[in-house]
Amino acid sequence: MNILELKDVSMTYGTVKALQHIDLTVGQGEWLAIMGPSGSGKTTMMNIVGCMDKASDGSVVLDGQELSKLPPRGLTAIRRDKIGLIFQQFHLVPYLTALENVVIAQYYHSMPDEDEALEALRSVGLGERARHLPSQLSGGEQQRVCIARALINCPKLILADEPTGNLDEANEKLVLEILHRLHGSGSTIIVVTHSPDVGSHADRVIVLEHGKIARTTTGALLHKSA
Amino acid sequence: MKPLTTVHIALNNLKRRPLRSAGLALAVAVFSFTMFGGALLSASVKNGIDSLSRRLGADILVVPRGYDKKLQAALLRGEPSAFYIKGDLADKLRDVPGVEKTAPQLYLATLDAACCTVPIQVIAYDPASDFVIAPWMASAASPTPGDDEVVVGSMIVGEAGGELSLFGRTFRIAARLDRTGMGFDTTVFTTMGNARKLLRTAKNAAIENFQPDSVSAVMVGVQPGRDLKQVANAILREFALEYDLDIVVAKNMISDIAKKLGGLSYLVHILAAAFWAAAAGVLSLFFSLLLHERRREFGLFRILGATRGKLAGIVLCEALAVGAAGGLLGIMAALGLTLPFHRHVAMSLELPYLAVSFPAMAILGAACLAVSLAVGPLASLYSVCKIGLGDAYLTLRSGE
Amino acid sequence: MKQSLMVGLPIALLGALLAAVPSHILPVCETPHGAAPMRCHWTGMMMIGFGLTFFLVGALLFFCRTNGVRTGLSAAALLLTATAGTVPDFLIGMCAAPAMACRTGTYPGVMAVLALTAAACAANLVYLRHLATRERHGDETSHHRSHRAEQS
Repeated sequence: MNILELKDVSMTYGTVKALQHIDLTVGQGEWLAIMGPSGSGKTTMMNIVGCMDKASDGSVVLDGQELSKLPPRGLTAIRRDKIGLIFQQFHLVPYLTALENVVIAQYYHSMPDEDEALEALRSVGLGERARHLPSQLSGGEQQRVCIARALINCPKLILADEPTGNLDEANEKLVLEILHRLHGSGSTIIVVTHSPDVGSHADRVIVLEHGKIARTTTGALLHKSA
Repeated sequence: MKPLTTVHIALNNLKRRPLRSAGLALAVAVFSFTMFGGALLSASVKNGIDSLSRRLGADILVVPRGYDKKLQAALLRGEPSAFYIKGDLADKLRDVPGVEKTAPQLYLATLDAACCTVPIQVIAYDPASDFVIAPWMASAASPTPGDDEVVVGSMIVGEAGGELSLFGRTFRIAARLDRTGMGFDTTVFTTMGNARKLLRTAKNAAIENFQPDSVSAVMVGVQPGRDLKQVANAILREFALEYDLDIVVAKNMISDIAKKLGGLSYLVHILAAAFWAAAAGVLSLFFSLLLHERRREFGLFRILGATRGKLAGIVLCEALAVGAAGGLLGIMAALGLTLPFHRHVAMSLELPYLAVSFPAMAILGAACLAVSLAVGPLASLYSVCKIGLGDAYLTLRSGE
Repeated sequence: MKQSLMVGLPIALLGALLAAVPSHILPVCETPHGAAPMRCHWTGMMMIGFGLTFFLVGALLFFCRTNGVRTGLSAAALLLTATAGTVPDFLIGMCAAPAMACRTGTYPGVMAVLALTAAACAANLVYLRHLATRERHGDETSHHRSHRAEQS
């Protein structure tokens, strides 16, 4: 069963064609990597898939729901209920503790549950750092809080934008291990990255160029060619 | 962990920048201090004026020429004075057309031997003919002073049943009066009989022009429906030369004072409006800056699923918190100044001043707090309307 | 520098204000020529003395860097305000007549400044305790960080 379907999706900003006639399906439990140079349309695709923007043309279906006709409130609801977002810059609220940063995602979704949030932090190895502020956490720890926040509402799709872009090698390895664990338990993951090392962990890799899918390969093949 | 709510987020953000938050609260505090303090002052002066007009009783006050201001000072501020005219005037005035009743009063100035160097006013009245002092003393459950007895105002040292020494003679204090907000608070009341006995042995009284039957002023009650000005002119025509008189029309005296109150109220309102506008301006600027500064944070909340309404709730919460803190601070500061210093304020204003009751103070405070609470949300309205507009993800990533 | 200013400056300023109230701002009653000074005169002198003491305490708080010493100074100053507060009503007293200048002006002025000084001392104690807790927590965090660095 496909969790995500893009049919003939295009995105135009003024005269700039950011995406052109994209056709893409993502199966349930698949790990997809979206790669490409700067300006290739990765962020635009991330915005559309993550319900942060609407395509100019074409159809986007997420978990059986057509997104192109939804009003902004509807997109917000879908994003809140079905997508877990992981950012390159972590984007934690500086004056909330690690635990509160996870709870806030619950607060805007349904009901805050401190125990559940604590469990999510434990699952990423940060149970003992729950009361710390982001300024008291390392980069890798902050990214793991971000992952816990993305997972707290049991999303259908995990969308990660350069999740290891700001991390050193050791922390990158830690984060990828967590993603593998999630993938292993059946989560659907889409990672936007420019790093072949990160892309090679995916089941499938699509490479964007000038707003089009230039080629499709597998993670294993990407790893071999790297 | 405290429950994570919109209020929690808002207060947390204010706590993060304590100096800035304190500055904003201070802007509101200055306004609420001015408004509440000014309102208290005006209301207390109005109380004092009402008290004065209730106690004055007389329509026309007849005094020696040139002493009308002294009389007002004695009545309003208890500034001791002593001035005299011939005592038979009171009876003769009853024959003037339009005059219903007359009552003589005798004013003496002395030092209170029991304490300190503050001079006090003694007012003597004739219980048989008096219609000015006796009625309100009776309504205050105060007895008419008997032989060698006095009734004292609220600011005279001495308790009921105690003793007071005047002109070297000891008197028993029959009663203490409640606050009146006017000169009667520093006045000692006694009968004409006691006062004349006193003056026979006076050592320190100012007794220039004094004759045994002298009085200081005659209170005149005019028949209902008669023109006060006409009656006053008639008195002057008949007696001004012989007795060298001046007239004070009570209504005019009170309206002059009320005009001063009007001036004070006007000034207070202008100042309060200016400070409100300043506070609103400062807060407006702050919320615009806040929106810009926290655009990424708000972008993140939007991405996590917050509606624009929720974001607006955060901003409005902060606005209300600042308004509440500032409003309460200003009100406390105004209370801290007016309550302990009310006597000093009263004496500085040179107006009748009777502090408002606590219920009235509470109502004024609540009204002032309500206006202070409104400043923040009104000032943040523009920012609230703009919040959450634009691409959330681009906003979040701006500057990367 | 900021911390030193925060703990020392308010108390120093309030001390100066306390000394200025009975002498310049809301002076006590004038002593009549040839008469002995009244009680309010001596209360005023005491308040000037207390005010100068608070000013010096504020200066000491500014220059001292040790939290323990600052805490001790603030606690002592708090007790001093309580003692000073008993002077106008009990220890020496003021004029009896409510209309006297010392009663209408000096007394409420002095009590207001003493209340503010007490509040400033109490705020100091809370702030210094918060600083001490933060320092302790900061020590624990850096110890934890170096421990983790060693482990990895």
